[in-house]
Amino acid sequence: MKKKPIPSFLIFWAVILVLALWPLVTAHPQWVCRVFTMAFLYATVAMAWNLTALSGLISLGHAAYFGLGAYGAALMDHYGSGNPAVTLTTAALAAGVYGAVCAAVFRNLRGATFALVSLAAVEIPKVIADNWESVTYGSLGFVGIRPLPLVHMGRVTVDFGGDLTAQYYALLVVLLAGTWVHFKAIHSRWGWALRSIREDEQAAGVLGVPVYPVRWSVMTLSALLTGLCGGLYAHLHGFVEPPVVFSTHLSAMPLVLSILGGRFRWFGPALGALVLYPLDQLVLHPVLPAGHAAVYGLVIVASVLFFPKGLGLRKK
Amino acid sequence: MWAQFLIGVLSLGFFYALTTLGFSLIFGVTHAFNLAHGELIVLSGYLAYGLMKAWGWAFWMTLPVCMLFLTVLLVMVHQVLKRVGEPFELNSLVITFGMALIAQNVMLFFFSADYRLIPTSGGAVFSPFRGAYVTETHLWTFALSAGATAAVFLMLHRTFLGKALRATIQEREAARLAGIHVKRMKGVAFAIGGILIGLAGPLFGRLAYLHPAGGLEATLIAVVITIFAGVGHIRSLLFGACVLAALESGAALVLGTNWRELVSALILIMLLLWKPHGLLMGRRSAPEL
Amino acid sequence: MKRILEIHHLTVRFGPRTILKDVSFSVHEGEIVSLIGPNGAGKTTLFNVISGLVQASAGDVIFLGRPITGWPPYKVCRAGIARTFQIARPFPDMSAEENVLIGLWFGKNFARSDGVLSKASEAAALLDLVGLHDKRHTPGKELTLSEQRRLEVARALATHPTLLLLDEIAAGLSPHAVNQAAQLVLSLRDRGMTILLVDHFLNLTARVSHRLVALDQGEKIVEGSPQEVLHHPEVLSAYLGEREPAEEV
Repeated sequence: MKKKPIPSFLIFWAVILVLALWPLVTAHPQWVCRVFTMAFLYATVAMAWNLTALSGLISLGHAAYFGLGAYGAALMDHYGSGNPAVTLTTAALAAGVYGAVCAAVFRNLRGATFALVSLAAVEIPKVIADNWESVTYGSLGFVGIRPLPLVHMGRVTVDFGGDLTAQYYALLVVLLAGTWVHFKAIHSRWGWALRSIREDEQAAGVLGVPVYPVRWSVMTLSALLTGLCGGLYAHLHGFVEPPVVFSTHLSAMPLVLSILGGRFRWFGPALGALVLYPLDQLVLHPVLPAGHAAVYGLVIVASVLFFPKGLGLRKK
Repeated sequence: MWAQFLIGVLSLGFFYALTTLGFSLIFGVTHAFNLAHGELIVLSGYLAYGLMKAWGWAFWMTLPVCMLFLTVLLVMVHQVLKRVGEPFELNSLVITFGMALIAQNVMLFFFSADYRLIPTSGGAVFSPFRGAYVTETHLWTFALSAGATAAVFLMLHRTFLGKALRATIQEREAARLAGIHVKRMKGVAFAIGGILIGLAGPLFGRLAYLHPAGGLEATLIAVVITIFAGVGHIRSLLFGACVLAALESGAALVLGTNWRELVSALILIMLLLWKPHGLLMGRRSAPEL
Repeated sequence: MKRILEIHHLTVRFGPRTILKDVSFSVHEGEIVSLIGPNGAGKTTLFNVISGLVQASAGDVIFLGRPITGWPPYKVCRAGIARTFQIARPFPDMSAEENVLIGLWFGKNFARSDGVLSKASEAAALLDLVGLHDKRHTPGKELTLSEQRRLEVARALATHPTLLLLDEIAAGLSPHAVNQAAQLVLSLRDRGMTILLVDHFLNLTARVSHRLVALDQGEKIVEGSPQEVLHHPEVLSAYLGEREPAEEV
């Protein structure tokens, strides 16, 4: 009798379950907690990126949305309200508006042209953040963004600002919410619309799939979610500076994580992030403090060479 | 002051032409989008910096070493890109994006994230007008860039190899039928590209600060000029490079030095919106008629 | 008879080239009309304009009394016009069944369908109709050319069209398969559909169509019964001006 392989989504749930229980059961070093908190954040970014990719466009410029989100939250925190509900909404809107504009302006671009333009589109917010010194403090960046607040739930008070374990669970919830959106983008009628657009957009159009509205809204949603993650990043780290939040590395990471985990599975990008990011931070970083991120580049090169299907790029 | 501006623009323009030549040649012959182009230039700059710092080499002594090293590196890149499947343009874009990340981290490992500048004497060599100075860097940049551009131009138009390269750029299938060994031409294009990148690196290190993440700007410049000029047209490439240099210098003068970086990004976006198939050199069939 | 589709003075230009020049004709309810003409006559471009993939430079497309010029493809589809492509374009990684389901979920009945992915029986019936029942789990890219063409027809039917545009469905088929295609077209007409065909090689046209519209270099040269049009001197010269006379393949 043939053995049935374990469905890989079970692996995903097992990983999530272990991650959810682990801090409760055993002693947990705070820095490991921190690494996984960031892994949850980047996993969500990877799934947000993949929303755009599911419609058939490879973006090399999601750092633009991440950075705009981080700066949106930081600016709101500095000049307006420090309430995270307000700052995070600002973050998502800042990125979402830029994403919506990009999606509308670049609507006729595909393939390599789109990838190139998305790469160039990062420069605009980056240079503005870097040089509008009277507002953004230029290349010094923002320091002292307020951490996430204390939350009173009945008699229990949870300190999302100082308690790393609390942050860990908060971001785990964000990850699960992101996974749900990503699940819907594959397993729903909306998901079928995206898939048909990805496979042949003219054929999809004449069969009644509203190609342009679907693609515009999914790209806007993708930017919105990425911006939200950028805002969370600003609060978690307490400081933002242009070379970090608009870095090429941030544009590449979601691509790498998604390819590694499998772009067409609802849990793929999340699984990729939960494996590669901790591996990078916990194993490689101590060995190679400078240059450990080369592993992301290596994964890209290897996957284009050996697993081109994982990228899902196809000649028309 | 205008004379000084002009001197700056000309030397920068010629330097941009040099940075673009390698990219343009590789893209024209192989259709590979080398997004690691800028990183490789910065890498070559770091190599020159390291040689000068560690062993006290003179600037000119580093040039042949950089050119040789980058040629070897580019031939290796070619070996990797040969194995990339369809759609080649997008795949090469993504894979070289990965290579750019690797190169950034290699530089980070060896040279850390500090800003470095190849030391120059800085003094004026001579002054053609009152108030305008030509520095040693200006001369080096101008002489090397113009020399390399002229050499490539002569090579493309006067030698048999150059004619074969141009034929491959213009019509690959026809070139193949005419008995040109297209695969070999691709290797040649990468090798020449390596020489040019190797030459551009040390100059880059004199003109601007070296930083592991500083390559993207050079890549964008090369892409912009290539799309503007088309491939294989050295004269329009030179013209485009000077126009871009003038626009950037103008923006730097009016708005401030760092706003300059915005110029190439904006021009790139506008160029691609204007002719979305510009990169594919119009070989795309029109919508089914 | 009711007019289903009216084309009024349609002109299409790409840059300096004029692909279609002041073309007008109409299609009535229950008719099978063929567009014929040599290569480059503008037949497929006309289809592309009707289905919204190409913008007209001037003129109007009226469908059931409503102008639909410039509508995006999905709106045209939901108004009730479905088409196939000359070079079949199935979704390569979807199975034949899924290809058809896309049409069922997003086509004309979009608003009415309850959103649940439950149209499998309808999809099976359509695949039966075109004889692809056995291949329903085969990915689009692995079907043969003729199977891909039939899949396109099934997919187009899935959108519940009033008017069906068929682009060269018989090109390159064996005589036997052409017969089958003719039977299929006639049976669709009997189900109440109006059909506009593009047929370069004329091997389907003569058997099924009520009327022919002949195009040459973007202009309508003649319109009428098959007998009239096929023996019209301008049509003959247009085809002879090409390489070979009409009956090939």
